[in-house]
Amino acid sequence: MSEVKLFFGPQHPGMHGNASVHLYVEGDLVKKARLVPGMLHRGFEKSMENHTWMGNLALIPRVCVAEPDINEMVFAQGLETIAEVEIPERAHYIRMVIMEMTRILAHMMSLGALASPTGLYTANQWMQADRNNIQDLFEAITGHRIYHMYIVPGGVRKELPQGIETRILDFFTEFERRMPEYHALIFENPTIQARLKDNIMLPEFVVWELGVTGIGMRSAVGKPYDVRKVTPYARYDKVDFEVPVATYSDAYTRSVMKYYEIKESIRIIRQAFDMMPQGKVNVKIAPGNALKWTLPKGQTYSAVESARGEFGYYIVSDGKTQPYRIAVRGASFPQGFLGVERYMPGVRLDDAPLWYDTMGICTPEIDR
Amino acid sequence: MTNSMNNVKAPLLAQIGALFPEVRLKKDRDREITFEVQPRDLHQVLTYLKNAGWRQLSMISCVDWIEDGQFELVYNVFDWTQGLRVLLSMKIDRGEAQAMTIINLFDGAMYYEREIHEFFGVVFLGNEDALKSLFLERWDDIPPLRKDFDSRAYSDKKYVKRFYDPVYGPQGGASFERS
Repeated sequence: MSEVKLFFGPQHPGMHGNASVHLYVEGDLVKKARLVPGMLHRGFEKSMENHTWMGNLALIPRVCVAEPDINEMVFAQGLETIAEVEIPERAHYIRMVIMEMTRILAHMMSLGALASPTGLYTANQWMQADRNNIQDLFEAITGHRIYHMYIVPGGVRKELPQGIETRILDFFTEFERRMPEYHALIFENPTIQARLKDNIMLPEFVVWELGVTGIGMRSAVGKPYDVRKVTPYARYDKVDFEVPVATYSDAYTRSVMKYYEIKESIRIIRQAFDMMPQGKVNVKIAPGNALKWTLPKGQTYSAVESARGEFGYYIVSDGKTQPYRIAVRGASFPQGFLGVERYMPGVRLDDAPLWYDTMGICTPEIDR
Repeated sequence: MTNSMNNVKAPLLAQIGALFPEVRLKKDRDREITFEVQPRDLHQVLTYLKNAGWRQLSMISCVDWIEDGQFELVYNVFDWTQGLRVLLSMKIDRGEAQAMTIINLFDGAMYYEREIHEFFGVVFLGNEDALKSLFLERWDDIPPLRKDFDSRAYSDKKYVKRFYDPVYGPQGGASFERS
């Protein structure tokens, strides 16, 4: 049988973002695969060097479209480390609420993305409907629906609006009541079970070989390797939450773990509101006008746990008003390049989109 | 500064100091420790760290110190059990930018090296694949993340300049006045 070259993406319902995977298939078996990026490259790292520290705030959330707040968080954390500034206690808890809400958004997006490869479009419609509700909450807090620019160096941009706590908690109570319906819809669906169970395996040695983090790592290694637990930032060491782990990483396990992580995120949001003290929500990280801030010389790597794993910025300051260099570690960089090249071959053609989705690949953060 | 990681750091510092006399401690933050290494020590230090628990290569990044005529390569490894990050900073000459590859130690380094070659022009000896282009199709200038690359000048040279009259309001003279 002859080999055929297929382009999976950039315009394909199963593709996330404008990247392409070049597939060489024989029959319906993938023989060779490689990721071809570049169609989405916006030169973020170069443009960050041309903007002021504060001016970058409008730019950085665009690095990852589905989950923008992680960028603001790593940027803010890194700057606070370099400037050696302590931010107010209340800001830590507000940040945690924002981070967990954005994690839920990202998980719902990727569970909804199971729709197109499996034909279960209802999942995507339900997920998008609830994502819309969460985006309404974000709009009330930050004024923006997608890119919030709310977590700023020194704290958060402004105080929470009045009555938002009740709105958020009411929504999540209602959402939690409906979560069993999501479980029945997605995870008890015979098509999903047939397509995802015992399929697209990720063994432990591959995790270490590629450097996979996040759900992929925890589902194979069986240990709670979560940045929130291992090197707690914000106030994650003060709240009580579980990290779901597994030792058998098929596509089903990796997907169902997102469902359990959503539950844990809701737990964290409730505790954060309980423990949130009153007080200021931001401090200045440098004196004077925000557009003329300078930071002391220094370099640091700042990382958070995103929905897909360890996401970080390596930030270099040379004491001027602009960053000297910022390097972005996209959480899915390892599986996006080396993973596709080495481990996508061997799956069937119709499983290629599922491979891409359940390995948690987000193209914009690779192709930045 | 309070340091919660001393029981992990003390043995690491002692071992690194004993095994590699030329490795210098550069910065010690709470959960992040930076060493300065010489190119000839890099493989040995990384091998030691990998055996001692730093099993994950988080990233490799490069900084262009144009005034010193140097590139700084930063190898970032993480130990998930102890929660301590080690950064190895290695300076190489900017004129003849060459470093040994580390894909023999960390497979995941493959594409980080390829990206750095594309954006900084550092050649990683032993990693043939890194010489191929990755993100930038048919690039025809110096590597773009070098400090002497000016994006504005490149854009002016490469693309036709187009001017637009500022148009405020609907184009073509359409009117919003209601009759």
